[in-house]
Amino acid sequence: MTHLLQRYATSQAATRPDALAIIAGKQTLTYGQLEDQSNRLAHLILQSGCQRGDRVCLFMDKSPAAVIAMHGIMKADCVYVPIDVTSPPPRMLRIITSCRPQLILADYKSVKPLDAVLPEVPADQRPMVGCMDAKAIRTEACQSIFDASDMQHMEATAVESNLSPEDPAHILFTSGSTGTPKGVVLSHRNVTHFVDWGREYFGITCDDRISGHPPLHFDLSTFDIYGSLSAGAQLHMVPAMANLLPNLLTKFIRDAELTQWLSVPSALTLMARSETVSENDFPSLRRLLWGGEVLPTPTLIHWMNRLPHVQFTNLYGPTETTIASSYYTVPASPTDSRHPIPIGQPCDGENLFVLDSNLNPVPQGTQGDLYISGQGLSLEYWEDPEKSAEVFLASGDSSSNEKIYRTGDLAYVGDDGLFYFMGRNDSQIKSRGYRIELGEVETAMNALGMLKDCAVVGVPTGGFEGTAICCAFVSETDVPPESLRSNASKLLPSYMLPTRWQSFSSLPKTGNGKTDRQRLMELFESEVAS
Amino acid sequence: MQTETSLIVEIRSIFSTQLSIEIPTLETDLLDTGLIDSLTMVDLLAHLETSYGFTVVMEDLDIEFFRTLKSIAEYVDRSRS
Repeated sequence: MTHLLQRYATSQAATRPDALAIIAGKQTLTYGQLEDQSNRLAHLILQSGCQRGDRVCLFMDKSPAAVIAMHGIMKADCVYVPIDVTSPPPRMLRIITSCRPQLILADYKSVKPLDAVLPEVPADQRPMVGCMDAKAIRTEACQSIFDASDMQHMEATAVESNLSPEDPAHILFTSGSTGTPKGVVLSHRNVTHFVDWGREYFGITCDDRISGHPPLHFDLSTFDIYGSLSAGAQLHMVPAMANLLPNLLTKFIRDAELTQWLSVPSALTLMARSETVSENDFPSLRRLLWGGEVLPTPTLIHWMNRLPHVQFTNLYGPTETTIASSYYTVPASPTDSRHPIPIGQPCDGENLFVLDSNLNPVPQGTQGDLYISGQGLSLEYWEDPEKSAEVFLASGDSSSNEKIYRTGDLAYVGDDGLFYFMGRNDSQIKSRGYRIELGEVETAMNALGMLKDCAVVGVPTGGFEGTAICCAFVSETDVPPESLRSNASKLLPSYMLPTRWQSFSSLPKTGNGKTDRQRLMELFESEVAS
Repeated sequence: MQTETSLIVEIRSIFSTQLSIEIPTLETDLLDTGLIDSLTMVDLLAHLETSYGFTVVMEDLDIEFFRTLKSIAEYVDRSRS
């Protein structure tokens, strides 16, 4: 057992250097190339002055170069932080000022967002930039200190590492309810524990051809990358544009002859609804995995009936407990489309508890708050002891100092002994796999300065969209929704933008003067249903 | 400058009134700017179907059909005839 994420590729490179590790369109990368180039990059990163534990932000799409960058960063004993470069500059800036990177690794495609963000970073905190394309970045705001062509002048020998498995490997920023994203700090051991379990459980081998679908800032992507690399399999990266049209996703699975498709329910629902998957399609496919949000049972039935040769597994777990904490492999196509798909049983080394408000277990069959402990439990929220203390709690077992994580999810244990997800106890929602705090959306809408009052509520659609983000607003000047949306897009990533809008002369209030969110949800429900 | 045909005007209006999306110019790249994402694509296709009375043939769709207002108009024109 290696317990350091970068060692998976190293060990494959030692025995099968010429085997393909990553395929992205016409670009390919072998295990030997990944090892060689990430070693050289690690030397460059160290030469630039980075030290153990320093953060290095990734301004890159999911690509072979991004995987080299992730490995080079970890080999230099540093911590990588993927940035969603499609999100608006103010949001990227909040993440950068929070994690204070020493270095940013960018590719040419990301020069524009980089140019927008860097001048806003206080001069004494401004990170250096390294370019992962073979040409220096030279703009007014950004001068790269090295580029990929410099890697060839570095040694390809491994850098000596002082990392321990408990050291952080990466920080993934997720939506925060007050408008500031929270950084979940994940250790090498957190991730290798799940990857090793998953590789064994799913039986992933070097003959597998695995999809790389979710973006890097999304924690499921760590399983497709490291799960594949740990087995010496091929990782086939799904082009971002394929997300827009289900026929392109279907074609991708066929052409790449995937054996494992790891996706999110919104994509599966869209593909099912568009009827692009035929009976016994994808003859090479062995496993279909999904996570991130609830898959509607009718969608699962559609898929299982079309693809009887495929094993279907639901993965459940928040970023804070690393990739997934429980799993459920569906034994047969469900007969009742109203019956929810369980989130299943804990993965090895993880524990799930359904507790009441005093942290006591509730009886089987009773709904309560879902808590998780175990090997996947994140170290903390980055430099936020207050938020960490709110959700990472002492387990109550005085004989150990183990912590439990309050997920905010509601659940119960069924007669079958399996866990079932029942929704949220707060205003966090899931939309197309993205985890969104409605508070972050509302904070941004209020920050526009265009509205007298506003409230953002989530209304389940039961379909592809997951939960619809609905904005009720009061404006003096009769501002149209498209103008609100367009202005909000300067503060929020597109997946957080409200899709339903209603103008009010004043927002409905409850007896004690608070905004009546329940009433607003009812008002939006009819619109969402239409 | 491209000229704004009546079909383009209509499609622009579908974006603003049905999808609450402002399209800055006729040349705006709707894909690279992220104005069309997976969610708006689904809604857009549904609105094009109802407004122009044709059925989208999913297997025939190409991403380039949706790059600009003009290319969407051309796609609609081909599909409804």
